[in-house]
Amino acid sequence: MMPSTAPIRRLLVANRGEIAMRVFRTAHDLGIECVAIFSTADTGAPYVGESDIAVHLPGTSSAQTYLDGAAVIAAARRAGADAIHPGYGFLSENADFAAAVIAAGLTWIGPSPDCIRAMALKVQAKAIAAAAGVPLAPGAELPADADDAALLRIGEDVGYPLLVKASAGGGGRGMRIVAEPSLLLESVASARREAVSAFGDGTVFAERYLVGARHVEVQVFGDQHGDVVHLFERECSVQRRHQKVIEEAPSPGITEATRGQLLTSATALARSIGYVGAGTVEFLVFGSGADQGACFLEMNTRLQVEHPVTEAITGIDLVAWQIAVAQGEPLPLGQDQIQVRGAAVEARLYAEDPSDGFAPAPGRIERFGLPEPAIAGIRIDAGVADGSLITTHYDPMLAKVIAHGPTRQVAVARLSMALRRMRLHGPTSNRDSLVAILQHPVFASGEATTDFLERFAQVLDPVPDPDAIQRHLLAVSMARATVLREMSLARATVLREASGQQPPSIPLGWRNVPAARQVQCWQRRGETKVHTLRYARNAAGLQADVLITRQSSGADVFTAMGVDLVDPVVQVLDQRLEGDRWTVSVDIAIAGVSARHLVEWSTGSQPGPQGAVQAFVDDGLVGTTWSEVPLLAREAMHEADRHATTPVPGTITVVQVSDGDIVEPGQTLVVLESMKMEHRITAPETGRVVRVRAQVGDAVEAHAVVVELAPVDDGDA
Amino acid sequence: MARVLRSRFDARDPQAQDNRAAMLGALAEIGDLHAQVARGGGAVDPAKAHATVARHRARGKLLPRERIALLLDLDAAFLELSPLAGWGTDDSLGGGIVTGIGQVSGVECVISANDPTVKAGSLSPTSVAKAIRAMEIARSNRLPLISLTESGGADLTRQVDVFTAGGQTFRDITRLSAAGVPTITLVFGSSTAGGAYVPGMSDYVVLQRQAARVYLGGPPLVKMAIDEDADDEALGGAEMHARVSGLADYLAEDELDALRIGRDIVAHLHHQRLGPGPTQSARDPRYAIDDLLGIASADLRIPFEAREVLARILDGSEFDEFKPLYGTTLVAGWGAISGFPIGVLANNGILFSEEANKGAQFIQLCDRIGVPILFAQNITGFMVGTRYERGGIIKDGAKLINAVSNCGVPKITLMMGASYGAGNYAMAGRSYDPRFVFSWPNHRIAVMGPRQLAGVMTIVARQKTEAAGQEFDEAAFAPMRDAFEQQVEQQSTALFATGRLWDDGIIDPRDTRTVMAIALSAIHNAPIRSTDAFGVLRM
Repeated sequence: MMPSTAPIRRLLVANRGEIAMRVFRTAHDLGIECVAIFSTADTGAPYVGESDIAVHLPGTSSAQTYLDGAAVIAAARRAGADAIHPGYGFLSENADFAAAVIAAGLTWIGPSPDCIRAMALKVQAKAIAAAAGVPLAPGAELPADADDAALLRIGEDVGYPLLVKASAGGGGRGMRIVAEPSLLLESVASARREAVSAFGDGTVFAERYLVGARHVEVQVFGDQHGDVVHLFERECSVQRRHQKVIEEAPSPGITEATRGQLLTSATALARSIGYVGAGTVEFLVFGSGADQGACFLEMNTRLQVEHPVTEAITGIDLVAWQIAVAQGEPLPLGQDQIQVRGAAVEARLYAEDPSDGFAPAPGRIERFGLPEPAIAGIRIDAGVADGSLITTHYDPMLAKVIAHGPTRQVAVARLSMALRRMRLHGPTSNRDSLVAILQHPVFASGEATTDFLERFAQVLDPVPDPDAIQRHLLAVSMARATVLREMSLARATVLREASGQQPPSIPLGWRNVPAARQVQCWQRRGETKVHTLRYARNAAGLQADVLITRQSSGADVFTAMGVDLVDPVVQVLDQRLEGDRWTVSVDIAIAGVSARHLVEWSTGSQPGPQGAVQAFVDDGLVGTTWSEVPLLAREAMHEADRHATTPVPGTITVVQVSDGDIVEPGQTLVVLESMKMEHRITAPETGRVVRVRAQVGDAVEAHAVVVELAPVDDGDA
Repeated sequence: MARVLRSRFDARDPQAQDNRAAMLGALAEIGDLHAQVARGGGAVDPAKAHATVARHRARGKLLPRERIALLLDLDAAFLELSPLAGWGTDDSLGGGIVTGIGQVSGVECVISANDPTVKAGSLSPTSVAKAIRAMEIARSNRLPLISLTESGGADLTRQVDVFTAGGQTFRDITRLSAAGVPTITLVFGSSTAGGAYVPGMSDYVVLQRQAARVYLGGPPLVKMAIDEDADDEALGGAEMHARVSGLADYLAEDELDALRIGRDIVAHLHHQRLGPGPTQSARDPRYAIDDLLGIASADLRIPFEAREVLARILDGSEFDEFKPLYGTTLVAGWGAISGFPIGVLANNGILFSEEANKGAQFIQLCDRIGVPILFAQNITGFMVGTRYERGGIIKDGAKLINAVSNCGVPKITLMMGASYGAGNYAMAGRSYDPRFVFSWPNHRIAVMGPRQLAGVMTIVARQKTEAAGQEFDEAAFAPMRDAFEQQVEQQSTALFATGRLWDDGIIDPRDTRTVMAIALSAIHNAPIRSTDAFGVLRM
């Protein structure tokens, strides 16, 4: 292959979010202009603002936009770009797209279409790997024409448990874990079906499923002059549904012998296919000590999400290398010049709920970032900023947080601290879960394997520190009270009109006679119970207790026994309104243990009943999210109000529904004529018609029920 | 520039320590009484009270103070008025009603809540007097009135003492409305007979579903009167009043919903304060308010320096003294509390002609500039004796009483010690319509001191005996004299006075500044008006 030597002047990144930002950063460092593409849903996204030129791809779905290769190439042409970087995901491992980019006369930042193809089909990739001397897990193809008996025989040969995988697959799709022979045939059939529908290729194969293995991968790099080096390994054993959650480098759990074998195998494989650019060879490592073994999983022919940990320990900018290699330059460093310095860990921060099956949690990010003072060794690759909207159209990853340190222990501790200290105001995230993983003794000792999250599922719904919860409840309540008071003073009293702008010297919540405690109810995100803070203030200070109730109804609030907060001391230091966001800093001490809390909420973003707000509390060690439970909220609509009634006396002229109908709010049920006026009687809310009481021609009184309605229950749907 | 008062008070002084100990003792007694009122149930015995309260709660109902806490803005202050009304009478302590001033939806309101755990919320003469006083405060200060109603109506065993006076409560609600002061009633339970006119006369009425019962005659009376078997709900239920009679403007689902609606109603009143408001920022005094415990004399025969009190309640301890060298037993001048400008008249001894003239002039000056006046009473009366009568102390005193009676600006009276004789009148005692009267626990009030009164009685008795030509037996009269002195002593106490609503409550001296700030803030809801006519001043 003739080395291409065209210098890149304007680079289009065929991607979005954090990876687009990441590539722009290095490209700009190299003096290369950057072109962003953005879907309609990504209008105004932070990465678009970081580009020099942006091209709109109309539409919101990935298929209409980031996966439409022709549209991407057309965008590059229109924007005058001379190169395309695919990032990861989307078109990054699409050989046809790579070929089309090259055919369009643009520089493709990635391996050749042939290399991509060679590694895309797993069955073929395994054969190449075997030829290059790479160890393989026991496995075999499951031919489409094999009968049931033949399939079972293959299963027997591979051994159980085994994995049925789609050859063209990735990201866990078209993959089945088969624990025993009786489940094999069904799994093969369903994996084939999924593979056909997802990849258009029903080829599947069986592979021994290695329980309790480690996921270790080697970063390789090749240039157009035939040189291949490795940038050492990463370990990504903490996974959920075959998606990496925590990644680190170097691997804490492989022997030097294993490391040597992996590095050698990976470079041999890359060399054998003439690999150019950044690639990753993935292995499963099982056993320990002298018994440790490894087998090839697959090769990813692109930049990986977790490349920053490699950058951290080697000091190499992988994107800069990609660009250099694509411009035909030789690899900037030889193998012996590449050294490991310290350890690095990355956590993937997602807008998702780990305790609810990792359900995506779309919504507006009110605030995102790591406050001062900076923590040494922390890098944040984020695709979001204050005000970003997380939609359901794309991957809900918010950011990658990477920590580098002299030792693994320091890197892990720094990452944990950075995650806990982050302002992450908005949708539910996996932040607490990530912290719980990092703090888990099994992870801390470097013993985590790919089944970590199944074995230690409690990290997905970590139990919060009750003392911190009490402090945060007190902080959010006191902040809310202070602001409400400020607002009411501003609104209603002349005390604000005076020159001094100070509230009067009347102590907060002052009473001259012992009185009922003041009450605030809050619900912490992720919990169904309601925390009721009751407090009184007197000369001796604040007396407060907390009731935990399952519901917010009045009776429980006053009858349950509370937990007294010991010697609570509250000092509201500052409250500021910027735009529609209140920021209140509150010092809270309980039993002498004091911490500063920053409480924030937006008045506009989540207007609930009674102006209830969603508030975020950060104390630097943990962040919590609280929803105000309006104490005086109206109860559910009373039975009688649900029925349709006549506003005035009159005669029924039309009946439009019959018993059992499901009606929508506003739907006309009955027409009433009265004093020559026609009154349409409509459904007040969605409901089921229980009984029509009126008939055409009936003379009815005012306020008569003409149609009985009941709430729609599941059985009606 | 305003002069900063300099204190000479030494808390280590034995006298100060005695005063402090006595004051703390009195406050402990009052604290116990407050606790008794606050726990509800209407019984002195805590166990009995608790049982009554538990029955009330078992019906899913809140106590009046809980209703108030939920009605008020978060962290707003609540100044309860006349909490110990009824003390020393046959009526329940507190009168089975809670009244006070607090902020609701950003608006200072007078709240008046029946306590249904005290004799089922039935109204004694004390309840009626307390409710009327609360409405007077609402009217004079232009504060919206929120009634939290759940009452069995007049205590029928006391109907003789309640019936005619009770009528005024309904008159006053509608007069508030006529004066442009909004009236809101939330009904949580029974509101029967005359009680039905509380919602009936109010601008806004909220009835709680399945709880409010509002009728002129309850089922028993209907049975007696017209032999009709009436059902509670059909006769006066919230649903009926909301859909049929139209008495209810809002139908509340439960207590919390009723309170929410009440808050919403206040929010939409767009109530504007019409007073000029504070003119400067609030500043703490330079001396500790805690010192007041040692400053105020426990034994009122021992005078104390009024300026020591002012140095602890005025903003920055700053006081612009007026005529400091003239009529020196009446301290006059200007200062501010919580940024509200205020004129102060404070007693530093008995009143002479000079003091009366000085006070009358000062009141006129305050009236001219529209500044409310604080009367800090520690007064044993006007000077007596031939010399002073010849000096015209009656006509000078009359000038002061004329000024107090006719001035247009609001008056606040602080009972910080003695309040005897015409001194009470000249210093804006209860009869002279101060907007608020608050007392310290050491306060004593009577026509004169108990010893003087007993002494006077003895002299009168001797004269009568001797006029009849008999010999006066001093020793035989002594027990009568002592009994009388003791009775006067008992009837002069702060508790006795507050029990009869001669004030708006006994306060902890350390709360004086806060209470004054709340009172002034309330006062500034209404315009501050000067008068255009004093009575004829006798020269």
